Amino acid sequence: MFLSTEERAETIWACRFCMMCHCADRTAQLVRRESYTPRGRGAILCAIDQGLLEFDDTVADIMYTTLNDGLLHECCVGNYDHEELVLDTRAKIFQRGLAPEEVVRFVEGLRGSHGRGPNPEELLSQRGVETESKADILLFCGCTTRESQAATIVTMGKLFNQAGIKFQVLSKEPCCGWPLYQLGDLDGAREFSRNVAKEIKATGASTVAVLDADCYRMLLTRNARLGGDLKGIKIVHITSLLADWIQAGRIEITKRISDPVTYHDPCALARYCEEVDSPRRILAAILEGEVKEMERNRKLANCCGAGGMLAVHRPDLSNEVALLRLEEARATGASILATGCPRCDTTFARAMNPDREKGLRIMNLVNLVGVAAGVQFPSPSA
Amino acid sequence: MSSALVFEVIKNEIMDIVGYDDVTVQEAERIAYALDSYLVPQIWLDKGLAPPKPDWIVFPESADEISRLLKLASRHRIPVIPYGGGTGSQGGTVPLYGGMLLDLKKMNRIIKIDEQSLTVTAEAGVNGQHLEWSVNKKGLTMAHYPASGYGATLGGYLAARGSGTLSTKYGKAEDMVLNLEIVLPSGERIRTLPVPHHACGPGLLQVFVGSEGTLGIITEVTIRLDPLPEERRWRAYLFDDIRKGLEAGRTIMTKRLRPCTIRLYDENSTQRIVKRVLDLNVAGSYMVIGSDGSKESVDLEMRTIHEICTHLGGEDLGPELGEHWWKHRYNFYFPPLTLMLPQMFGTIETTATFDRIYDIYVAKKRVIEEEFKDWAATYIAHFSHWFPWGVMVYDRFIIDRPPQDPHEALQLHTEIWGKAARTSLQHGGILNDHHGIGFKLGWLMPEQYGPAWPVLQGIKDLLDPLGIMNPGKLGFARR
Repeated sequence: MFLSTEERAETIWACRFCMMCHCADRTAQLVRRESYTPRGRGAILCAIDQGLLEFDDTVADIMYTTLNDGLLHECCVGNYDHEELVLDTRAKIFQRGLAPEEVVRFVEGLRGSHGRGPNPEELLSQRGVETESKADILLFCGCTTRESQAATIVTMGKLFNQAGIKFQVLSKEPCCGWPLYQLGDLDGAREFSRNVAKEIKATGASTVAVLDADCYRMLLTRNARLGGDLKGIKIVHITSLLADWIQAGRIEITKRISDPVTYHDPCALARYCEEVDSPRRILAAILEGEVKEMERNRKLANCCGAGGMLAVHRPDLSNEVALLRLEEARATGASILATGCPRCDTTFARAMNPDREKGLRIMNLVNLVGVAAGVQFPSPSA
Repeated sequence: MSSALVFEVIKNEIMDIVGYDDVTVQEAERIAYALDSYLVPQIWLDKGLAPPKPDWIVFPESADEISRLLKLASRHRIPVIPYGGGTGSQGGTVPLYGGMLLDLKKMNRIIKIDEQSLTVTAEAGVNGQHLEWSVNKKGLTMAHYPASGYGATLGGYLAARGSGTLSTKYGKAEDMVLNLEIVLPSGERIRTLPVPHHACGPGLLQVFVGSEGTLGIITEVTIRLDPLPEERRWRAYLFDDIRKGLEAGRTIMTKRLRPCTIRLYDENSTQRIVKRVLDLNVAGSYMVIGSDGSKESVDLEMRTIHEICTHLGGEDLGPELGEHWWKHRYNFYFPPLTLMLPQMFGTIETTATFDRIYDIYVAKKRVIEEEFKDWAATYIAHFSHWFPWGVMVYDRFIIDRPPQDPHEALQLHTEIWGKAARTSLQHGGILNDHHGIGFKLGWLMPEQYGPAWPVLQGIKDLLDPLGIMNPGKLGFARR
């Protein structure tokens, strides 16, 4: 999508015969077929360009069975953007009507609804959180958070209130378009990007505080390229806000958390937006002990399994990826796995086997701060 | 029966063994499996020529399934091509005659890490780097770091007699292996003796090491481990003449010092490749040396090495440049810093004893630069894997503007390889040190072995009378 013709050709030229990033490709490790590796994908695309192959269901399956988590890019000597190549290819596949059925169904459902989950304004008001009809800061929750992590929205609202920072929410929050962008519906992604930018601009907010890391990445780095206009509006992730508020004493930590905690860096936040410090500043302030870092952390963190909207096409693989990451979390000895993204929370929760994962709780960083700050913590909806 | 129906019959028999999901005949996958890291299939793809493809791609999950598949292949006389990571550079996994390609990556269990004996036993399809990370957690290492490690498999390491960056101290893969399980072309499963050193007759283990899938399929490997070293230190030197660098290396090895790495670049390589990859602009022969082990042993070894190198005129460039090389050691082999199409290139390596290696180097340099000067061929070399008795020259030819027509390109490629390889043989070298033979060099194998070739061919004929195992490779006649 965002590769020029030359960039696309150069990326295929590089990837088709190279295996440098194979160890970083979790889906390739799980599928264990050469055709599902970055090299295999590169060779297939080269063959298509050479007229030796055509787009078909098998090519679609291969191109939709990826995480697009940016880890390949981290390992690449030449900094080739294999993820963007995959997205570019998905767009071509989608346009040809060859996207897998479940992808098409998902896209149709999303385009029909323009966003999923309850109205954040109502949700917050029901829980006694004070919002403004007009405020400088707009809290953007994201579909996944609204659908399955309502507690996180409420806690974030209470933290705003405790910090004395006025904020507003969209009563009908539209989808930012990230799922459509990932699934190859370029037209849909453009429409959603323009729409969400229009809705945000209409609020008059000068800052958008984003809960979901993928929404954050989408609004920060992709919205403008897909035709949205967020000029003059600052986009921040809630972890940087929380870190600043804690440091400034706006949030009082009344009880540090004594349980051993490990932290999962969301791909979008850590790799694409290079935000690895704010979550750690937060944890340093709210934990009694130090964070028990996973072996792969920060920019080298493994994906939770939500990347690339893999769960739409291959929910089994998405679950397996999540389980691998949960194993890495367990290996630290932590009893709490803190995350920086509600989408990661949902993915982990869906994959968890309660018996196997006994003794490991998934908690969004927002909720962990809520506990430490004495903010009433509603029961999490997993 | 038409061939399409026969194809379906065989596919159904394969599915009966491995299940519906573990066989594919999809065109996209057949293309992906048609390539390895050999230049020729890459040229074919690059020029829009359809490479030879497997008919069926199968994903066995056990040695038992492999056994049954080989019996099926024998019954139908279908070629069988074992496939690990497909990272070989010799065309070893290219399915020249179609057939059944067996991707072993589903056989990736680590069976046992023996912390008493310092060995690991694993299925052959385990990824090399993943295996290394697993043993690292126990404070151990395979100490086998090939540039292909991120994609290659344990079985592939042994099948091609691979070598890694630390081979000078830790040996090649063939030195590390204790025993193998192999499925023979007949479908029979055998094991070699539990230990590699014995007085129980000729070595069965080494018959299969390096066989590149032509004598059977390696399914399980036990390999030696080493403790992760307390320290690993690097230093770089610059010699004004490659011969002095070679003499330094020879002296180090014959004094029986055991550095983990000696990497010596000739002047051309220093100027063209080292400069490009490491951003180091020096003239001369660049050398990097590494030593690892306890702090005390590394102190002593590096001190002695330093004395040898400086005595022979080596300019000390210090430890930072050595560290820099180690951190970027794989960058030489991956885009955009590696040699790539549209260039034509090849690693025409050989190994020889110390008394011969310089003459080989000079002779091959002359052959490439003079006999192919119409193509402005360049010759570069570095000396990378050192032995107590000699060294490997990792030399390459480069043609920046090769023929555009793929058939002409292939003809030129074959001509260069023939001349370069024969020059090695004529001066007491060998066809290849650690990349293998595949189909790139198979045609020269009878020439290399001379009267001894029928011995190897005889082993092949005995074990694989129907000629189903990876036909067209290693130079074996196709029956």
